Amino acid sequence: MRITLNYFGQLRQFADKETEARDCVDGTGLVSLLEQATQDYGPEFGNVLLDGNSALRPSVMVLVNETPVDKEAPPSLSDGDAVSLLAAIAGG
Amino acid sequence: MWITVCEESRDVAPGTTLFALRDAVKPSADIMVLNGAPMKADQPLSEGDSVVLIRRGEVPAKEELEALMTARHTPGVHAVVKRSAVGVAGVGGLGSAVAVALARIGIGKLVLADFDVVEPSNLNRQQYFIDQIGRLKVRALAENLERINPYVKAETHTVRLGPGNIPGIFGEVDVLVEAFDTAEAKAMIVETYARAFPERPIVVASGLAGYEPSNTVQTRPWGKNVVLVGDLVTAAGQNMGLMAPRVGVAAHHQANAVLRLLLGEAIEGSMPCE
Repeated sequence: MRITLNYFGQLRQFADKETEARDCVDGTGLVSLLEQATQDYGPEFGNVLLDGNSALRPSVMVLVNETPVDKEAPPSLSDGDAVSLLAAIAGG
Repeated sequence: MWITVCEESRDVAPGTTLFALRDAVKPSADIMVLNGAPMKADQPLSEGDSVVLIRRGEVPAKEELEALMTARHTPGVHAVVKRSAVGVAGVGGLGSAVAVALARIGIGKLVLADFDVVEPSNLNRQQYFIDQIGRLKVRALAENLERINPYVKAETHTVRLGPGNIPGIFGEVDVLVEAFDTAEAKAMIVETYARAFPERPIVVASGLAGYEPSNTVQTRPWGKNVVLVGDLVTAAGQNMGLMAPRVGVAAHHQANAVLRLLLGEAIEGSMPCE
């Protein structure tokens, strides 16, 4: 299946791109997809998104098809889905 | 023809000019605001015009005050904001400034939530005063807002916000403003609010520390109902403080985004990459 990944903030800097389409096996979960992206963009990229237990960090904001998702129970991905990722930044 | 004078409808003869209206209604007025703009020269009035007549330095009667306070609004704005409710999650640097801005334009109701008290180190950016140090922030802010605009209803909650209470506290607002300190809380409230109210907008701030150029703070839509304000990268931390100028830039981006949402205006910027 083909998933579009949209990067914002620090992720855009580490990936050196704003968006990409990734082909992956049907049924690939969100975390697995991000682990694949980490292999391309390095540990700094991965460290923003995932903790040592391969769980999404609490500060990460995820949209799937423009809707915020519950990181503890992310939806299954389907062909054509768009995932937007942003690590929230402290300060307020 | 029908016009409004200090928010009261009045039938005046066609061809009536601004100065003639002043001479008939309030000869002592030395500030004349026509459709939100102060006017120095006389000009003919038109059907539907809104005129506010002010005598400089005069303290208005209570029934006139609200009309005078909104004299410089773009016409039509006040009617919308007055019937609107906005939630502000966190009333620190961002939230207190957003609340003040919205109070100044006469938002109908603000729902304010924060667990914290005013501390001296807050005063470089937060809308509190020295004599409020030690006070609960939501109470101190409500008092300040009352002094700014007594027509705004402020509902306060002294509470640490979380998934268990956010839907209940902000259940009746039209727009929610995220104004937390920590990155984790920012992400938490986006998820929680979207889960509870998937059709309602939330205005989030991320990346507003230091004194980076003001124009790096931007407002952009992010997904269906999230508006994102900030530069998305500049975190508060060691060697990167939070200070009134740039925090205020972000807060007023948030406040203006709220106003635009209430007025049904689009938030500029396109998905997914801007």
